[in-house]
Amino acid sequence: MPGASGVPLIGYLIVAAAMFCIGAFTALRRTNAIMILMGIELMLNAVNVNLVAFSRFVPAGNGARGQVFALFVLAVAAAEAAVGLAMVIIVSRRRDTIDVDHINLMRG
Amino acid sequence: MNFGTVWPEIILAAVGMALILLDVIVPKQRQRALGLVAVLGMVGSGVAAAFEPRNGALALGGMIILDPLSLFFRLLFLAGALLVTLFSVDYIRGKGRDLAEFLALVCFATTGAMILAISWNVVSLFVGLELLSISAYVLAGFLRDEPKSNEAGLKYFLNGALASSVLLFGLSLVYGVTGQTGIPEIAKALVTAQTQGYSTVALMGLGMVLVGLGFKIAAVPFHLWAPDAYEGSPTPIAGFLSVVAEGAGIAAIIRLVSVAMGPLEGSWGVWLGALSILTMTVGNVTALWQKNIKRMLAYSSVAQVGYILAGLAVGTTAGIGAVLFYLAAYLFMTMGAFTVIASLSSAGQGNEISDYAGLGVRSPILAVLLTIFMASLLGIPATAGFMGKLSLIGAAVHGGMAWLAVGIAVNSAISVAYYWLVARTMWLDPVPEKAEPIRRSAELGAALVVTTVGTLFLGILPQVVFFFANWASVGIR
Amino acid sequence: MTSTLVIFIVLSLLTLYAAYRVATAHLITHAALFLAGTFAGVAALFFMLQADFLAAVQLLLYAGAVMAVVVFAIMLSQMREAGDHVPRWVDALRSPFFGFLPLISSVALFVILLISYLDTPWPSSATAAAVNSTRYVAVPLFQSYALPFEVASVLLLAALIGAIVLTRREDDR
Repeated sequence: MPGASGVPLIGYLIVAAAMFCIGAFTALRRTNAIMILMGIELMLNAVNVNLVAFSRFVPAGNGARGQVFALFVLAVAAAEAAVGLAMVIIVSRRRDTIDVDHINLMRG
Repeated sequence: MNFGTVWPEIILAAVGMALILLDVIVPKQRQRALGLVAVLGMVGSGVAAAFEPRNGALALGGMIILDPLSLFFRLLFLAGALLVTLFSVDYIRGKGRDLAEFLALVCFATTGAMILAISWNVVSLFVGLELLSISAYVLAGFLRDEPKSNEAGLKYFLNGALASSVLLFGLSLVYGVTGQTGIPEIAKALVTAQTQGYSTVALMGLGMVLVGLGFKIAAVPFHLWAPDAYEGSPTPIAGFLSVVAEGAGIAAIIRLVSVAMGPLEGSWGVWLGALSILTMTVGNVTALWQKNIKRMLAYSSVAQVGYILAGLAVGTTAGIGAVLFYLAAYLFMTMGAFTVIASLSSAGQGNEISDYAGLGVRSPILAVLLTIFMASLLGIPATAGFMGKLSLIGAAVHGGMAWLAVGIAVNSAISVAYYWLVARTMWLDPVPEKAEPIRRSAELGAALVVTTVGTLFLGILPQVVFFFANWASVGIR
Repeated sequence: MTSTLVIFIVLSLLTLYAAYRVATAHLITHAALFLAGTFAGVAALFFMLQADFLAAVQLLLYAGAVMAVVVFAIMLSQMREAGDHVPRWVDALRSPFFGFLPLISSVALFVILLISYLDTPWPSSATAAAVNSTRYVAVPLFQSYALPFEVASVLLLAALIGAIVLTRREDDR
């Protein structure tokens, strides 16, 4: 299989940046809690693309750190998804809506 | 691999797991004893922390550092968790929720905060931060049957998760520039990376790390979640968020920004100072028209974060020392205020400021204590808050950022208004007719004694903690 | 232009298109479907970067486990619409706060990142890939990163307890 050598680092970085910004847009723009969570997952995936791409291009000997870091990001993202979606379920059970614009008992 | 250097964290996490098991064994009527188990675990963890080395030794493959700063934050977070435990026993049982699960999550969250504070590597720092955050999201939404608590949990979660992703993206850029995850290695690599044309990306990384952490500590303009999270959370957790979670955010800023990215050139100290002024002003001004006391304290703690950021912006050893002292003072006064609120709401009283009318007659002791805590938050002499502000102002003046000192002084003047409102309502407004006398439990009494003594002690005899804070701030790099 | 580069461009455009569809989907189920597509695309990017182990974990954990959780949440919360007043392109731009602010801030972030990336002398060639990418990750993971690994296991336990605490019904006990 041809190596990553054909693709410059900046290619991966631009893909990651675009994905991060699409995720940020989704998280900020959407009002549905599950959609916000999907946006956050996109952002975390972008982080991992960054980390893994960097791990191939930083000087040898430093590369493994990036992949280990990415592995921890994966684990944390899974835990976050579990807790977040539990939160969504409990809110929808009481309220019939998970639209954060309509979830506003508190003001001030 | 010698895990003996993390005994405090191991003990605390083990107590958390033991609580879950004990929940099944201990009969429903005796569950109060679980509070004692958690307290003993936290004390044991604190004792273990005191016996750890504090000479700046690295341990566990360079993941953690055992310096005075680690000791300081370990003890600070344990003290915060201890107070939360003391005053949540009645509160959580009164709400009909499971005490064991609550205390277990408090233990896990505190373990995360401690891991974060002793980390000498961004990976373990980040995993510690997430252990703290994920437990705290659940704790904020713990009162499952109260829509406000659901809402607090959901909003805290969405904002916190967003903040984590921004923080992580910043950290990934820092890794890309330096190839390192160790904090001192990053600092070293940044010096050379700057000369090789990487400074723009490194600054982007720093900016995103600051935005992410700014969300976590509720610095303006990333503070919008804080009032909702504080108001809707169980009251002990509002105290936990403002002391342990924010303290952990400050610890992360010290480790990541002041130490790891310290070598970065640029005037980001001034930017941090601007953020500090903005945060304290918006916090104080918005607090002026709050009607709910938890919400008012939320904005007040946004303002307190602003004061703390001033010390970080100065960035000198004296500045960091002042920050640490202020965190200790803040622990006692904020926890004290939330303890009074929790004991009143356990007695069936509401959280609106108008509900506090005539408290001076109904429960003079609680009213006096709340007045002391408010006076300390405001910064009246002979209280911890006064000494804290004094040292922050002193550090700002000596560090050549006198405008920060002016900002702190002006903001303290603004904050007189809303603290006075509460005091006036308690002491001068007439007693409502159907008011009932208020009883307190042993745990709440203990928490009140500790916080009051702490607040007054730090105000009258601050030398011991000053010495500790300055000692901890000297060797951070 | 090498064949690798062509594969990379096609792959990343597909991944970004899927991500874009997540952002603009009207039905939440469609968004979930495209999210799975994005996850798979990221896994393919990991393969191109010769991080085989991470690619496999990405597929199992994200495209498998996280997607399952998302689908469960959609089912249990009985939400079909992705949101009441969401994205017609033109309407979105019209609403002042929720329309402009997210769009402008995310586009601005992208432009700033792009400028600073283009301005930077990135290393031009990749270092030699690891022969065994599992071993490559595992050795540091269980040696110098043993502490975060243990903390991550406490984190997963806390998340597990948390999810149960939140969603368990009282009559289940």
